Amino acid sequence: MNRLGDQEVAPISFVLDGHSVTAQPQETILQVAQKSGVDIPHLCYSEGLRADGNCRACMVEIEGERVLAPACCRQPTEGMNVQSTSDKALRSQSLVLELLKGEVGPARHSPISELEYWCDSRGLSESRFGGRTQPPADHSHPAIAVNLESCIQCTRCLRACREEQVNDVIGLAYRGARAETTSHTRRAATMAPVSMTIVHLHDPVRGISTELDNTRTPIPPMAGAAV
Amino acid sequence: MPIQRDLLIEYLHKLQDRYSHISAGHIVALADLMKLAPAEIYEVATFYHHFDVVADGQPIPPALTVRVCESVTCELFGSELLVSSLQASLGDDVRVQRVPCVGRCDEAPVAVVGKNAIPRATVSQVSDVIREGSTAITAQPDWISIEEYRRGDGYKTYEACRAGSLTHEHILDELESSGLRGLGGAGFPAGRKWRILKDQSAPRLMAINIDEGEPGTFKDRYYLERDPHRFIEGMLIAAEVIGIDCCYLYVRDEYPGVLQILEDAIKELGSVFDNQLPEVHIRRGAGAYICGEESAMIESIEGKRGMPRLRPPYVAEVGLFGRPTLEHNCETLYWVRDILEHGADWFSGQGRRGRHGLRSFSVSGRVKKPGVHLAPAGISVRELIEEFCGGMLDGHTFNAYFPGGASGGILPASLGDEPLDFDTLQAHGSFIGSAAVIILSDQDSPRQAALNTMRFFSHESCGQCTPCRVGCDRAERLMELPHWDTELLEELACVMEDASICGLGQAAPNPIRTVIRYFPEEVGAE
Repeated sequence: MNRLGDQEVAPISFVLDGHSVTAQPQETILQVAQKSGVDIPHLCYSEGLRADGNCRACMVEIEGERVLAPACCRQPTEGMNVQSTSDKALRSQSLVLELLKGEVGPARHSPISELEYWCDSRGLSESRFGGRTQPPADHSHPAIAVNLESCIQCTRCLRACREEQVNDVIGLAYRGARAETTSHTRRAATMAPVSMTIVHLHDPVRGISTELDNTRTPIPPMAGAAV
Repeated sequence: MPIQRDLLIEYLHKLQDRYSHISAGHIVALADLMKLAPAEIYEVATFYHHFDVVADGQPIPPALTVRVCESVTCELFGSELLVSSLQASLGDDVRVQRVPCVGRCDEAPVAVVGKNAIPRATVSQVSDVIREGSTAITAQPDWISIEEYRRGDGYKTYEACRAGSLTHEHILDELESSGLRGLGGAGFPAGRKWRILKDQSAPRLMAINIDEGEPGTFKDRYYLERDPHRFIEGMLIAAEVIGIDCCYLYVRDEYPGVLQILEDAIKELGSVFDNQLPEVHIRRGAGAYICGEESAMIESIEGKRGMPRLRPPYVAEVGLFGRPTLEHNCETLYWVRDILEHGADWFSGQGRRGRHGLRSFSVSGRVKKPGVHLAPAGISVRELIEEFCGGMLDGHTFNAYFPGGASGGILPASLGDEPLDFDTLQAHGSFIGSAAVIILSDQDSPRQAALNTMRFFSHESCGQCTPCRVGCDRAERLMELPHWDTELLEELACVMEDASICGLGQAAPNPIRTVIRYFPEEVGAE
């Protein structure tokens, strides 16, 4: 038994892919799967960040539910029957990966690509759905360059920046297929927050990929902002 | 206005209304005032189509915008030609924008000059209106004032409920036995929803959806422009029965007339009743269909991007500002007084083919009398056309119909005798939703209508989840090809339906699937 506050809470037993497994209170299906050695694709989930459930790569089928559920956000309940490898779940996982594979440009900006890892695991070498027009690289700042061609709008950089580091210089602008990770305040920000931001901009995920040019000199805060 | 985080969209409206755009300077100034990061203001401002965010050095849009509706019915009636002709004739001082449904499908094609909606618009009419400078809110029909409403026993039911002569338990029983369901489209039983909310801990809130954006739907506007107090009475009864002190009304920005009426009607209320009334806040949308999704609407009321939340938790448990929230479409509340006054049996006793209750059909397309028609649940579309809509337009033969707006799919005339109600069309890959019926004739193309709806979904997707953000965009491209790759489209439809966060992405494939199923010859599938 664990203690949560003053309450004694029991672990939760549920079934994952036909095997009986146990979740601690607050644990998600994905966390239990990882502990149990069950591989479920996931991209927008990152340990230490609030789970957001936007990429939909980790969809699983829960008995009695009409639509699939994101394993990264859903906490199991006692007796729940979860399948990560049903036809319906596998189809959605693979199609999400295939759609995203079409989204990103061919250039590699980091040594490890989680998207490629999961696509390889499913034998996906190309997307039948075609690609998007890539946003132009932004070199307007003297110290930081942003290239969004690998961005899949997973918002990991945004959550890290806003919720963990509390710099709040990254946002998700526009909507639909035009939705774009943005750093509106880049030029207006002081250099201190910007240099802190660089840490998570270098996250090897498919969030923002950056090319940092250390030879440039930091500039003082600027009035007005580039929209 | 006080400085509150949740009022961000209201502040952005003030800027947009005054300057006809929002500049980088405005965003930085607002950020300073609200002690927020500019990134947070920027991401909210760029989410909503009615805000023109302009970068330094970029041109400011003209002060006057003419919005031309390009949704299904307006397209049937020539919106495409209207847009191109207006663009050619109006010059640079006026911006002509293609916009999604403005909720006036019975007057198609519609152009909105500033805030003035022009029914059955022509280039010369629009030009005249611009020349006259008539850009203010469209003239409203006379609506029933509070005095008139009270002369017809208005607010008696609410007073009886407050006095205890009509018990809360009786009201809940009546609602449940009436079979009244959520009329925004989801159809959740209203009485059960009230009971769920009553069991939640206080403070509870109410959020009312007047973000009627489903293409083809205009019933909420119709009722609020005529009899707003009937809706308000329903709202007050719900607040009294459940124990709610604070109600939020979310009105789409395409309905400035409704916004005005509601503001006036709520003011009237204050002059008649004591100060024991719940607080009522009216919030203005900003051009985003997705905000009609219940959790996206809550995000928008909180002043954020209108992105749907993951469920669980449900909004009845964790809703607006984290509180248990009763969310209703306004028409659901509109019927509460009548049901309590005439009895549950009066409502449930109506209907055809074993169905129960009344439905407000927003009918548009190729019929003689388009408009809102209150008809029994379970009526067929053929009966609706013949008995309520004066038949088909001369020279047009009934060929297909949308039973429930853009998201309900397209059915063929051969299914024209099916009962129209919740739960009756599932087997056909369709649903009634908000009861927006669009009639297509032999001169219209279901394939083109389906493409129109996918462009709409693509334009309106919030962009949060992959299946909807990328799926709608790719589906649109695949549907533009002369021959549809039906297998690939079906795979795409599966992931959109199974894995999207909300109803927009889940229902967006309905028009694809129904066209492949019922009109295969149109897409080269045969």
